[in-house]
Amino acid sequence: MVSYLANRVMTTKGQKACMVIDHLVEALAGDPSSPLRRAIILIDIDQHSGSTQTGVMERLSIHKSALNREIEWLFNYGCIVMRNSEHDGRAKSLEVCGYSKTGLKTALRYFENDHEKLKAFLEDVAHVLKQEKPTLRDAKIVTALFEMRSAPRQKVVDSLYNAPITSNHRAINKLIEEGIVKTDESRSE
Amino acid sequence: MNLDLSRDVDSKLNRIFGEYFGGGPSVSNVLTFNSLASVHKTAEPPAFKLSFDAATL
Repeated sequence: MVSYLANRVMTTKGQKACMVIDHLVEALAGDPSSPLRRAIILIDIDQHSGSTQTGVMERLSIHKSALNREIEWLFNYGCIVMRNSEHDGRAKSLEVCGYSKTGLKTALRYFENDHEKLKAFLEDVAHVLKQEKPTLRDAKIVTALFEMRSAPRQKVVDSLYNAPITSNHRAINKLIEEGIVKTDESRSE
Repeated sequence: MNLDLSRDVDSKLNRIFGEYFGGGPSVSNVLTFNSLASVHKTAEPPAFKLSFDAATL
């Protein structure tokens, strides 16, 4: 607990943002390719534990088929469990479990355990990224660069996750193309 | 090749991170932690908790 509190006080806001993203990657089966939307769904399920898929759909205004895919992913990777709903025999109630619960709990500490704040944070970051489906990897690239200010490409890649190196470079290239990340060349244009 | 954020993105993130995480560690907190760590020779100095309760949490 003391070391956690020490971390909170001693770290900069950029480092805190990086840590939140890291904990969310942990919560999502260590997959940095997870869209921020998936993280928001996981947070919502934890916030409204026992809620049904319809409940998530209504609260987050997500299309049914898109939500189905995300729920299926979360279930297949052991992030959530499904139980028969007490209120509706046809519906399943959803709960976050295992490592997802642990990762989420740690991320929530940076937001006074306020799920709404964590969701709003991710929505704000997604808005800055301006992509159709921004991922946790994209979020980590920009938060790491925010913290480092200016850094060689390799240092940015080193701050990312164990993933195929091409995935990391592809994500950086996309952010450069979109003008979110600048290179020496693009700055002089 | 060095990378950095566009000015617009940097300023937006600065606002967002500031809103959710505050302004970051103060110099006095850093000095307190370093002093305590050197005295106690441990990663978890027992007196550290006393140095940052009201203002920073």
